[in-house]
Amino acid sequence: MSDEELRKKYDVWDEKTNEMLKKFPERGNFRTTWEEDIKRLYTPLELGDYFEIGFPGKYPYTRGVQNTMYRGKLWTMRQYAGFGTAEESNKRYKYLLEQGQSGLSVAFDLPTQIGYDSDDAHSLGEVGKVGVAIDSLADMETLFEGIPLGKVSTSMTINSTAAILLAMYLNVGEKQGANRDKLRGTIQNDVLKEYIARGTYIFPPQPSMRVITNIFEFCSKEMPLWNTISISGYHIREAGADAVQEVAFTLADGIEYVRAAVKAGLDPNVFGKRLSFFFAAHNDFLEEIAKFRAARRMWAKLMKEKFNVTNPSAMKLKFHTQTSGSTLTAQQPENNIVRVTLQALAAVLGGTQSLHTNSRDEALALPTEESVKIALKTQQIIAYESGVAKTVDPLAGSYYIESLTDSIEKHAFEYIDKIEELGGMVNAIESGYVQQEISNRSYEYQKKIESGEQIVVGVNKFTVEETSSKRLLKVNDEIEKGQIGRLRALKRERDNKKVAKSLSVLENVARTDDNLMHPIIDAVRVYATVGEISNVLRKVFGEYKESITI
Amino acid sequence: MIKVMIAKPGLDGHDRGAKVVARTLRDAGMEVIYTGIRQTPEQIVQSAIDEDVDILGISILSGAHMKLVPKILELLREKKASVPVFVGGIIPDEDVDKLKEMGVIEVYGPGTSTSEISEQVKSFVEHSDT
Amino acid sequence: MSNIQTHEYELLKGMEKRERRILAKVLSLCESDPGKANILLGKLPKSTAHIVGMTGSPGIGKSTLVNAILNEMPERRVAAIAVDPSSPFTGGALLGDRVRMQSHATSENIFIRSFASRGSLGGLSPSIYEACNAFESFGMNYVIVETVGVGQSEVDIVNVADTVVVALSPDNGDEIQMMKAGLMEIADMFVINKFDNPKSQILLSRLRAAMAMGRKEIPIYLTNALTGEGVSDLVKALNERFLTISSNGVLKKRRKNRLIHHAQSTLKRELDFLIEKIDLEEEGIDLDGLRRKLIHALCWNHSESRK
Ligand code: B12
Ligand SMILES: Nc1nc2c(ncn2[C@@H]2O[C@H](COP(=O)(O)OP(=O)(O)O)[C@@H](O)[C@H]2O)c(=O)[nH]1
Ligand SMILES: [Mg+2]
Repeated sequence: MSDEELRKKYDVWDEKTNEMLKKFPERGNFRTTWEEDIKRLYTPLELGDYFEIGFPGKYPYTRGVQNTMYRGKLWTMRQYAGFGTAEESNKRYKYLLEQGQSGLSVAFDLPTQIGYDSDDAHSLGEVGKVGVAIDSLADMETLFEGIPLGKVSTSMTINSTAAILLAMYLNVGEKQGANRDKLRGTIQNDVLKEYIARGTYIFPPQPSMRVITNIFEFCSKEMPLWNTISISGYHIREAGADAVQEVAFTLADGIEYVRAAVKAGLDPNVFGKRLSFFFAAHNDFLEEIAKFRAARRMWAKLMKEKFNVTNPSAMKLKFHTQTSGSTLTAQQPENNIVRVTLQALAAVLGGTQSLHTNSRDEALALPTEESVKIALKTQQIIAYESGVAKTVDPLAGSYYIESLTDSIEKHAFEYIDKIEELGGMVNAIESGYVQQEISNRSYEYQKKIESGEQIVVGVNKFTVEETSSKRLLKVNDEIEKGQIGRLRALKRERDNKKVAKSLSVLENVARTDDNLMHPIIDAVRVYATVGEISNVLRKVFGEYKESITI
Repeated sequence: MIKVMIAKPGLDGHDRGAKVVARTLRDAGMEVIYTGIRQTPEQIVQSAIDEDVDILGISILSGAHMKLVPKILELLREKKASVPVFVGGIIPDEDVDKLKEMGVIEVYGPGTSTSEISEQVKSFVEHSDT
Repeated sequence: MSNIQTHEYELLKGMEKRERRILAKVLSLCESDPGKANILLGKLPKSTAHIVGMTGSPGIGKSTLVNAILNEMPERRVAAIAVDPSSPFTGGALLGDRVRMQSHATSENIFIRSFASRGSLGGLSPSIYEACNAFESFGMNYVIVETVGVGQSEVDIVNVADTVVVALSPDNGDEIQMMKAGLMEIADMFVINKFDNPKSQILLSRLRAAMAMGRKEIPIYLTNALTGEGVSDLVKALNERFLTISSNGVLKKRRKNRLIHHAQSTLKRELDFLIEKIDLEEEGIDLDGLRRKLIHALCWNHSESRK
């Protein structure tokens, strides 16, 4: 059938259907999360140039970054975990590895992420609460005790203090006999999204960008297997963004990092391979699948066209996915298992490289071991029972999926152009533009839930009387005391002259343009703490203050 | 005119809920000071006093509420300020009871309707207006 | 009645003892009942603070600059007033400036207070005069008033402040702003903020050129409010200017002007109040009738009608 014939047939069908609507109206209006109308029916008329869809492992990578995808190797099942002391987290990691998890993912507590020692006044009440507390190399040694760093790959959710934690990891590895060039893993290291959505920033954007490029440079020379950044849309989405905003702002951050690295003299054909991404898998099943595909295609185009990259591996957008915590409810928590299943399935159908599935008690507390187990089993069921991993990109060619993919690409590029007009992401953040766009969406979404336009099962519809018999994980308050005790002992016992010297070297280097990694590695090795190192940098770089948007 | 302060103590960066609440209260006709994240209890208390707010709302999702909220209440008492305190965020049931015993007016968890929050703030301020 | 008196007594005592908590209450009174606040403040001794107006478009860095100025005044007793716009529809407001000054929230000598414009006096708070007086009664050395930065508030500040600082920055299209009617006339000092931005050089030369044309010599200060660069010069200039205007009669003139405007704004408030009270429907009233009624109410019936 030619397009013309098809269009005619479609028009006839459409007219008939409209006729029927008078008698049988539809349930309402249907829209994407970015407020575009969704048509009743999608047809081959929607399909664009097949080149845009292409082949897996081939530019523009809409269908995936490898030729065989999950037929070759399943995605990495990686549960984000960590709390309390290094010792406790060490136990949890060993448990997860025994349960068949294929890589580690470390959650740090907020003081560690924001560069305060556990005994700092700012740390009151936060030590070990939402992740593991690391003050010095000594804690890091405990954290990975008995886990061979040469064999596992470790992802660390660490940003403003990423250089310090990476330096510690490398030291632990070397003490275990694993050379730094053999270590595999990822640091999040994406500070731009901290200003936008996640909040663990320390320094103003300019010096932060410098630290990040220092890490890029260091790793490109000495840790070739390490992923130096995980450019994250997850937090942007979870702060309330829609699917288009998630893609647009993440890739705009990516552009800024590549630009900075190129300016520092690095070759995007080389470091481009070590960039990785991190997205959310939200509720809207089909939209999410399209989102991952669109992001992949857009990044390939950006690398090729904007940065003249010729090496195909440097154009491939590889990403980690986490299911969306903010869609999970405190009410009827068992329902969350179903939500997570759908979201995880979307991530797999979208071609993710690794996946974290949230636990049913997400909106109540950190997950219990029992809940984490169900979440991990969910992935195993998708991988081994559902059959979706048997072929590559099974939903390609769906008129709706392809149309959504195109639409996300189009709208996200519009945002990216706008941000470039504003002078790039740093300016867009400083003026509060990006934060305000997200806040607006988040507010609209909240109002939709309250008006009943957006139904959340168990919250604004199908509610039941809650019985509060939930068994929750409780982080012991004594952890703070214990950690402070250990820190004080360390500060007494280590060679404080060496520490002072290493910190003053660090300060001097910070005032020049030289790479910060080497003095940080040296400082860490003599047991200078996260707080001490961060404070030296605070003194030189200053601190960031957020622009208030609501 | 109702003047409220929405504050985020400690190192917690979860600001989505606080912002949604702040905006709802503003759009309901209140004057709202949203402090942004990473405020110390001392900063929050002194600001609430200097601004003479009718009500102080604290948002915490990081789990540090049992250290930070009591500290804020204690500082308010120390400074002879009688500002009513609301709390929102991820607060386990057993802690809700403890916080209320300490003097927190109300605790709001995930899924609370913001218009309900704004109604309750209004009625609370109106009734305490003597 | 006796209740109100004890309350007033408490406020007066607290102000004398420089209790912060009480100052905060008095400022609220200035907002909710300026008439009563004026009477109360009339009973208190008053020192003279240097009242500095900080004006310029939103986003220029006024709040950040006030914060930087506070950093440079550790020995002085300083009040910072930040005015933010009220929504004309809901009356609600987001008071966002103080966040940039939060590092001073717990400083003993510094008092930061946010006001909403509450729709009147072109974007300055309707209680701005009372608030300044309250701070002077509290013994402040400096009162820095940050305006909303749009429309009339930019110009009205001249009736409040002893010194008007007009802030400009290179990334706000301020070359045009600068020429905007009035700003050149009211500026006692210019600040080009965000001087870390290379484009500020162009702004500087345009500003100089404009001044040459207008035969006016207004000092220009260059600052980076984020790092504090250039701010100590600005503070030094503010201190010096206060000495100068205290002795050359300018301060007196400004204060006289301020008093007149304070009186005008008080009268306007009274009128607004009366007009609201008069029931136009029932009278089938015309302009002349309304005027007569108002004069009557003002002259003869004032105390009666307030009840
Ligand atoms: C979104 C989210 C994020 C986003 C935050 C984006 C942002 N800018 O806000 C991102 C992805 C960045 C994030 C990061 C982290 N998160 Co998080 N996150 C969530 C999540 C999924 C939803 C929170 C949310 O925004 N909900 C939507 C809003 C509208 O609801 P709300 O905040 O609950 O607000 C409502 C009420 O609580 C109340 N309310 C809230 N505040 C106030 C204030 C007042 C005055 C009033 C009256 C009412 C009120 O009214 C609101 C409207 O109903 C929760 C789990 C969950 N489902 O609740 C975890 C959760 C809060 N996060 C958690 C953790 C651990 C983290 C991390 C610390 C992980 C880590 N180790 O790095 C990081 C670090 C963040 C940081 N800097 O602090 C934990 C906290 C555990 C605990 N308390 O014991 C939770 C509970 C998840 C879990 N089960 O593990 N997170
Ligand atoms: N680069 C730079 N940014 C500044 C400077 N001063 C303020 N800013 C930034 O400009 C934005 C607006 O500042 P703010 O003080 O809120 O401006 P206001 O609206 O005039 O009060 C913020 O993002 C500040 O961090 C400066 O001197 N240099
Ligand atoms: Mg301001």
